[in-house]
Amino acid sequence: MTPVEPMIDARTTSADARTTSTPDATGRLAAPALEATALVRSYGGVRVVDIDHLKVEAGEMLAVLGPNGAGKSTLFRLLALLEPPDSGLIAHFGSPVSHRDLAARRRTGTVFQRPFLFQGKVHSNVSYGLRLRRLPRAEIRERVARALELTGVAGLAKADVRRLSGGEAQRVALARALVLEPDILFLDEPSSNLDPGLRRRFRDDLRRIVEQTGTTAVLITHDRTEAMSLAHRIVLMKEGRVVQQGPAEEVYSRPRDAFVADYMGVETIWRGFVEREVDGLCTVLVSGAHVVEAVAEAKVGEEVGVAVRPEDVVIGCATRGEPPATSARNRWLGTVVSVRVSGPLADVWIDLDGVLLHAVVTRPSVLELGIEPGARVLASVKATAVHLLTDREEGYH
Amino acid sequence: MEIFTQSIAEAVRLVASFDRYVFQVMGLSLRVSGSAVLIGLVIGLPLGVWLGLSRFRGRGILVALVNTGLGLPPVVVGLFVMMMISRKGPLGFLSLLYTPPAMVIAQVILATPYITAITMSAVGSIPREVRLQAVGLGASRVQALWVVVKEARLSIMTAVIAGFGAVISEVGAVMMVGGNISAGGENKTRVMTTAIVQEARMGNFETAMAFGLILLAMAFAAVFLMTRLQGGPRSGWVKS
Repeated sequence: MTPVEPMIDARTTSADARTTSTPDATGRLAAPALEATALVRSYGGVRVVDIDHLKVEAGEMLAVLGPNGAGKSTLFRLLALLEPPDSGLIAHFGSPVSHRDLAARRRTGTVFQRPFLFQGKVHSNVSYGLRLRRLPRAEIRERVARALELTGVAGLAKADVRRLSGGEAQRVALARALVLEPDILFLDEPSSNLDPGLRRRFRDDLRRIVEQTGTTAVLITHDRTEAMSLAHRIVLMKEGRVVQQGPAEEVYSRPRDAFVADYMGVETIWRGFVEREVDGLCTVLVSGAHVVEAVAEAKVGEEVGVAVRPEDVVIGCATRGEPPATSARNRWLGTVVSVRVSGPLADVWIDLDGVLLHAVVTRPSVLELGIEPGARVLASVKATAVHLLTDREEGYH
Repeated sequence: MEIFTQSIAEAVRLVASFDRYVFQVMGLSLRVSGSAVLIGLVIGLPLGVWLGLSRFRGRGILVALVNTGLGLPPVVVGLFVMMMISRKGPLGFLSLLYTPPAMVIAQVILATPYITAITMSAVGSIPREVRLQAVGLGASRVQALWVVVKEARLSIMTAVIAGFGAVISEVGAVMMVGGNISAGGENKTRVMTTAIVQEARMGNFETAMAFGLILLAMAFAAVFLMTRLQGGPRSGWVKS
């Protein structure tokens, strides 16, 4: 067998790379679909994007998540080759690319927050990229029809774009990018301009389409629900830097620090000191009085943040005297401070003699257990559900 | 009031009888002003796109110059072109004075600022993301600019109408460099506006007024035609 060149050709290998990011026949790792190294972009002396390393494997959807002003959209423009970085390297399937590289740009597709449809008919919008690529007319017609079908707007091909609703327009914008059958699809907040109901449907369709077509995608969003429901992996950004990146579930359940925990929806974060550590089970003293047990890696004497997800808190009735049916190691008695019912769920805040615990329970439980302000309750949390946040710098990369 | 009704009747008669003199003058007017606007479009469109979309040092001065150009007195432009192409001028060897090309040159100078200024503000009002979106779909730099121009086409059409309106109705420049020459039944450089001046000076108010009405009708027809090409009144940028 002849040795394989280190720079593999993107288009011929992308399909293979999609199915395996594990070592290939030669034992070498297939190149990621997108890789950015030491990427820096400044505006007026401020580093808006400063990323050491970021990669997207072929066939996966990466969500770049972060609050407004985190540099997400700038990163989007850099990754999608819409504008050049001040410094740094971007590679598609192992080959370095730049915004001047028209061939590389033509292997991508982009969808923006607003649809920005060009004046005219829906089909002329969707065929735009194909016409730029000078494809035969019959093929253009066929691919446009397929893309419109895929995005659920097949009936609108001949409609004037000014007659479309917001949801329809965004679907056309998605079709306009998908019709290119891009190696990498870039989506900048594609659903945040839609009404909540439409947004959910758009998201569901987006997930279905990306799965169906196996497209590699980069999704920019400030909405963690969107990131969690669509992406395989998440990159969380803050002030231009990556705070944490990893599989979506890992970023959600094992936040690196208080910022990530807060952004991913952990509302209860206490400060405490590790008192004891035995075989990975840490005992943490919070506010000098509360003992919290957690399965985590931490050093004795270290100051840590204690994060508890509201949905991991089980509430039992304290007055009935019976222990709740749980093997949870952490059981705390407390008083309900506030109850807010929204839809099928209710947010409950419990005062555990000085520290506040946030729990989410179902609406029926609220009634059944008589959860109301002033009620005494027993809150229990498994040691595996308690996450310790250390402020060690190696957490950032 | 008789003078007005007579002049209207005279105008109708001149047009209906396909008066050779009148049609020669009308034809030259359209040819000179039409050519000037076309050349002005070739210069003003790229210039306007460039000024409207790029940011650089000194852009403010250029924009101010273009806007100043909107108020250029035709007679001064005529004088300037006349001096350039007169026998003693730097372009005197071309022997252009008192010819239609000289009139076109003068009108190009008058029409270009209109086309540039309106194009500039039109492309500037198209969201930046439209260009990014085109680039994101695989457009080259030039193709992406073309998308912006196409999105701004209604306003650019307005620019053409404004430029045409400005030059077909000016008299100062064409008089200076054209000379309003019509001799021996052959029209050399007489256009509608200079014909009006000529006839009025000779006391032929009816004919002068007839030319005036024909000029108005021509301007109206041209504007109407171009407005139809625009596809009627439309709202601005496509809603999101």
